[in-house]
Amino acid sequence: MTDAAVGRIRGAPEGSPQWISWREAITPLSRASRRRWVVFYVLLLLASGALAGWGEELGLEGFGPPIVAVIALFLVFGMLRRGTRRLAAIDRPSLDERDRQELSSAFRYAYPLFLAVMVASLAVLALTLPDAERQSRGDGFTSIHTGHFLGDVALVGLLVWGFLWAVFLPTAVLAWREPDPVLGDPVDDQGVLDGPSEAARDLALAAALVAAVVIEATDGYAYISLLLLVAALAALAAWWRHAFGQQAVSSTLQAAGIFLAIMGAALLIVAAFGGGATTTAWISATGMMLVGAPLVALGRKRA
Amino acid sequence: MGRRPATEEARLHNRLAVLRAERGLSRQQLADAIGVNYQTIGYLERGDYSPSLEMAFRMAEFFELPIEAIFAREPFAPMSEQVYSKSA
Repeated sequence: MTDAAVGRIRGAPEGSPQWISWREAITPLSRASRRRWVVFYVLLLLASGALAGWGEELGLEGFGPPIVAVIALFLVFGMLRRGTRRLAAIDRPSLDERDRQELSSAFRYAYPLFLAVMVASLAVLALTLPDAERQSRGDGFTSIHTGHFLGDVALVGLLVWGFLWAVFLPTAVLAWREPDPVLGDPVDDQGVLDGPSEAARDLALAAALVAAVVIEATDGYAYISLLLLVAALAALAAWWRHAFGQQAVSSTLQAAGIFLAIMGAALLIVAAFGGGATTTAWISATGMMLVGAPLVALGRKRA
Repeated sequence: MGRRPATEEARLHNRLAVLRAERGLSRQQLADAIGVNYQTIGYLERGDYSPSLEMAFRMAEFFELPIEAIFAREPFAPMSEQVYSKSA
């Protein structure tokens, strides 16, 4: 499926949005893109599991519940659900016979995959957990049991691990198997639009997600990671809208940009000519201009 | 229940795209009339999916044609070829 063809899907009846949301901008439509995100999710889940389980031993600052990694997992899972038209949702109404068949196949494939993941997980735990001994005393004797120790938090983590795989795998199978959407209908493709490259979009988003997770893992500052993630999503949505001839940002954000730019300019004038301006005032004025000006530019209506 | 064709031999050929174009129907309009999702019509036309007997009957009723005029085990000859070979 060509990237231009991916763009044309936007002209199809089910997906001709008036305003492309950030969710629509990152939805993987082609099979190639869906498969890329399935692989990414698996790698991210494995990395999150390793981070949660052995982060402290590895000396990483962000050990413990990897918040940004969990958000990233939900984000990618949501993308895959949208990319498969949420066929795996339990409350999905009006499935036709093909949808039901695909759903059935997805669960059929997902079940042995889930079993394999659980067996492998337990095997890794058995190999890596420290040995433990438990003594039980009866009447006149003491018996010693050897095994492995798993604390309460680790047990909850293991349950979450299993839950995430159980929920993800049917959607992953669907995303992997579903063919490319059908294009080329002269009657349907009235709103033909050429969009940006899905591969480039995927690469940019994956890089932002990896950077966010790595920053959280190494520095432990979840809010910087979250800011990076939000900025990346906003930038991708703006890029997608721009490519489809829409305003890259909403009118509200544009108005906020105008306000910031005017305030920044006013502050600069006051700082320059008023005398006694502090460094904070200079930084604030410059920051307002730097944030406001791009918002004004991105909000311009395209011809 | 329909199926995903496993091999080229198992593929069921159809004339849906031609019939739809003749009647000026979009995939969405045909999907609404048959009671399936829009993409399913596309997958049928592309040969990614073979319909159930029940859906094939619904198609036949909708187009007011016998099933064998819409679906076949062998590829259909072009419509123009059929028309001109009969009239010759």
